[in-house]
Amino acid sequence: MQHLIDFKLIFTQIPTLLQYLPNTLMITFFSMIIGLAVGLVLAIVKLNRIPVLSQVVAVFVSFIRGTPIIVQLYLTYYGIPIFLKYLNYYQGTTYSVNAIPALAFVLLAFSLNEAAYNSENIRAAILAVDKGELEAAQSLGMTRWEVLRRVTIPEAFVVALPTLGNAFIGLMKNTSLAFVASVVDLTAEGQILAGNSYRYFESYLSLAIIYWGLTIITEQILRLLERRLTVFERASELRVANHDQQSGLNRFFIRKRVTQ
Amino acid sequence: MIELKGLTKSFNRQLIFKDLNLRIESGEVIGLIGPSGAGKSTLLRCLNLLETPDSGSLTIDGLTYHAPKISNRQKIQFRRQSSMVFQQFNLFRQKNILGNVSEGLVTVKGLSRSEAQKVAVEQIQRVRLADHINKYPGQLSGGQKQRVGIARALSMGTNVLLLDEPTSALDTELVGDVLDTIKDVIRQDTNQTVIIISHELSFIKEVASRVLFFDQGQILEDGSPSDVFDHPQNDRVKQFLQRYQARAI
Repeated sequence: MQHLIDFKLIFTQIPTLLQYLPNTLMITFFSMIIGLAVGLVLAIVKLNRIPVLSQVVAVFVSFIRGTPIIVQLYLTYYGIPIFLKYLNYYQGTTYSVNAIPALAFVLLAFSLNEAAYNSENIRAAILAVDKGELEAAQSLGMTRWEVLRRVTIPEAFVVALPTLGNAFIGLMKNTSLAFVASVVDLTAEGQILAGNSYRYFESYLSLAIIYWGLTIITEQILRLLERRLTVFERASELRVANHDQQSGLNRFFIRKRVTQ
Repeated sequence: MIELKGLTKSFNRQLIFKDLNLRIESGEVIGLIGPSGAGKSTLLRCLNLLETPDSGSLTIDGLTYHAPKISNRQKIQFRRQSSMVFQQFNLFRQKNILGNVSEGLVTVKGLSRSEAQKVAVEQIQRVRLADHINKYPGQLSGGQKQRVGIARALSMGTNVLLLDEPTSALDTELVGDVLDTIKDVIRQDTNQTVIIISHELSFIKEVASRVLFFDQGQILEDGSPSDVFDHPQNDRVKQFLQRYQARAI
């Protein structure tokens, strides 16, 4: 019985794996941002019960929620080339699948997936916004867009933040499926390393440590963000404590004060 | 000048008022009184287009709107002629007092942040809340909240100020504070047209230049405070005032 587990390797290969961290983070961030933007649009379509569009959205959300993400990744990976061929045939264009980086397929699949899930969260959050505040904003003479930008989105964001945070963490781990579209992320690199050294268990343990660490960091950032955003709720407690502590984290929590 | 011609409004086939005609001159302080559910609030909200009338026409200072069709742009243009104070304050809870009052100035009027803050601070001083400028609505009492609501409405500098039961959501103790603020505001700017819905009849009697008694979608009495309160012609109005006087003691 010797060397069943190479403990040292678990930690020494982490730096090599981390070279692919930017890929993982990039897929996560961009998918989340696109997913939030599209999700907001889908939520607004549903809330305003726009005919035809809202039915299309309902079917889309149902489809995304009803199919595994890995199947959706395969569908985009194999579907887009076929779509392009059709387009080229009927429109006489000459788009080449090879010109599209594999990352684009992954981003598309994850963005649409996030959009569908987020749209439901965002819809619920928007419904929770105080109608009185919306009326006040309208009565000031704001346009629909200004009301959305200045009142609805900031208010709804605070409500939705915990669920959106969970979605973000879920997405970060789901990006480990990117390898099916031949994108090398953390997990794909782990598999490559394991394939070379035959140390599969160690490789997956390294990955587990990295993902776990990422999740803990994300949770902390989300916690700080939530504290920052709910400063209006905790204002009375903060006022006394922060009055003469203008350094470090405290400065992060205090908004600019106006003195006259 | 505000003019209503044949204004009609109903909710789900329930008629609120029909064929309403009214003319209000600039600088008048109108006290709108009457029993609950008479449609006073709906009328006020129609002036700000928070409710869309079914038919008739509305004119504020030369801008006329023929109900019910209106484009979003026209609606906003019309709405910018009046500002509103709400029964439930409706402050932006995520913004501090300064943010609440300067919001419209920045977003709607396009002032720079520093200019907006200057105007906002003036208005906040007008409602005597200068000490609370950095507080959030959650830290204020009901009366203070409503004074912020008034400052926010004033900051827009409109010719028409609409107050929808500004003291109805307040503890009795805090009512006087808000009424004093409104009194000051009326005294400070005699050109501003004010329409105020209130059940504080003695206050209305004191500040209003003209009182309208509104019930069942109709203006039953229209005249100076002494006409309406001391010599009402309509039986319904007499009944209402008697009940009020009985309760006031």
